[in-house]
Amino acid sequence: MEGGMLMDVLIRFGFTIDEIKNMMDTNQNLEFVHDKDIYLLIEILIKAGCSDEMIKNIFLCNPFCFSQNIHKINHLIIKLYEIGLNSLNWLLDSNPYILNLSDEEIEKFYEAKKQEGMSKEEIIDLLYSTMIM
Amino acid sequence: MLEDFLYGIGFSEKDINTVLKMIPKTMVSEATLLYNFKNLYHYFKRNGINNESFKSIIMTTPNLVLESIENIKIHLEEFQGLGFNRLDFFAMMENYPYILDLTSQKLRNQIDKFLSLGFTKEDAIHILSIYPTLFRGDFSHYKKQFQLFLKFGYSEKDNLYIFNNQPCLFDISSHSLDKKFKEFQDMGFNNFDIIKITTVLPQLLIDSNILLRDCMGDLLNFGYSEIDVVHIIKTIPMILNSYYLDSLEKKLDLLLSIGYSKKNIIFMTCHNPYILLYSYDSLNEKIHGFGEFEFRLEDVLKMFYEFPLLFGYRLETIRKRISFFQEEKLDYLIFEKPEVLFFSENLLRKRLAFLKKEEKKFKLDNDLFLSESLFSKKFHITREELWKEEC
Repeated sequence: MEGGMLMDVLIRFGFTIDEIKNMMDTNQNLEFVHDKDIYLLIEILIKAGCSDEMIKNIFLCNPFCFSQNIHKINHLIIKLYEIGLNSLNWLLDSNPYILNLSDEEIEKFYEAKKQEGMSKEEIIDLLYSTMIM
Repeated sequence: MLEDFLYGIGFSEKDINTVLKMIPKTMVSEATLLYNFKNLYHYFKRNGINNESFKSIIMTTPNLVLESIENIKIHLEEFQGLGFNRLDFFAMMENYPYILDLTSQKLRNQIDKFLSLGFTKEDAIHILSIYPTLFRGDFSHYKKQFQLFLKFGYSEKDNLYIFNNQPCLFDISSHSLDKKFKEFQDMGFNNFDIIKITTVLPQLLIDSNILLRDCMGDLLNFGYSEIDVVHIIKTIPMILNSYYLDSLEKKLDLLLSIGYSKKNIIFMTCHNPYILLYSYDSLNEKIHGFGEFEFRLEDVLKMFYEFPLLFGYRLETIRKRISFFQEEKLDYLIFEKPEVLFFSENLLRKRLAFLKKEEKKFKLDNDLFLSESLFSKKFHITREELWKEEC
């Protein structure tokens, strides 16, 4: 039943049946995701500056982000802003897997790189240009 | 007559004898008993309890048949008043018929105790609904159990999530838990990894580690090192789900059949373990989806090998990016340095338009792909300012 509602939300967003099938094949728990959570996730991504096209890229590359706790994703976004990544849309479009990390993991990554002697600017560059996952 | 009715709804002779022995015959006549049984059966049936579950409820609490339906309805109302719904109530009845013995004060107290651990009321009701034995247990033990996880390193947020997902963790013995953590550690996972993996799949704290061992075994047999396997599992704990494990061999075989060596596959999947989670069709489509560009298969394989994140990108996105490189006569870069495909074509277009407009001196195949801060320093424009520029 919920799978049906999920289909409706994704179709309304512009996904084709094949794309939805692809995401469901990849994340087998997708059918249990509540449509309300998908709307919330889309809202978070729009607030982060993502265009519809970027959101489609993110979902297709990383359908596991649907299974993440929305509060966890919110905390992650706040952490990324705190570090100084202001162009989150570009970051998420290039590396959608980052949504599966927690704010603690980003914090740990940041601290580890700082310990290695990298400046804040260099760490931000690194986050923009590497596929941390 | 009573026996006939019970036979008819699936009780065996042995079940009937057991149940009837437990009901004090002196209290009620057989005719009343039959009437009560029928009433109770139809009431439960109307509320979604099937014959098998009805039998199980009666076998656990035969005296229920002496209760009036009105009395059960009063209990249902009490539960509903606390926030449980009708389905929760009957599901709890099915798993733990003793809930009818609980006073409303006891119910309220137990919910409040779970709230004191940080759960929302919705969570507390969810936890008690799926694991109603927690209504009767010793709460100080549950609290201790909760603290045990915090001591291991789980954050309060993680704790709320895993206990909400697997309420039976409140009942697991500390000895079993230590054993479970030790098994993970023996397989090469540190505490941080264990927390990450079990927060994604809390059931791993309850189930045996067969799936984990199978997954490790399959990957080790393929040629991955132990370090690789630990890295893959901690990056994508969902691989421990049998759904992915069952198709793992098929995916590895596909990658072998299209021309990658085992060494190549290990390299790519360690850099992007998500490849192991994508469907067979999706992987196949990506590799063979560049017909219009007339690339040689070996070039495509090299492109994916050197930049394995591409396996996650939408085919349409990769095509758009490639088109940009072709337009700018930079297509040789796609094979020389496939990581240039990491850059969105929109960003590259913005950068290029800006450099041309400002008549800046630049090296097309290098400056366009500078990191955020280097581009900004060299050409005195931030990403935000760049985005406002007209293409």
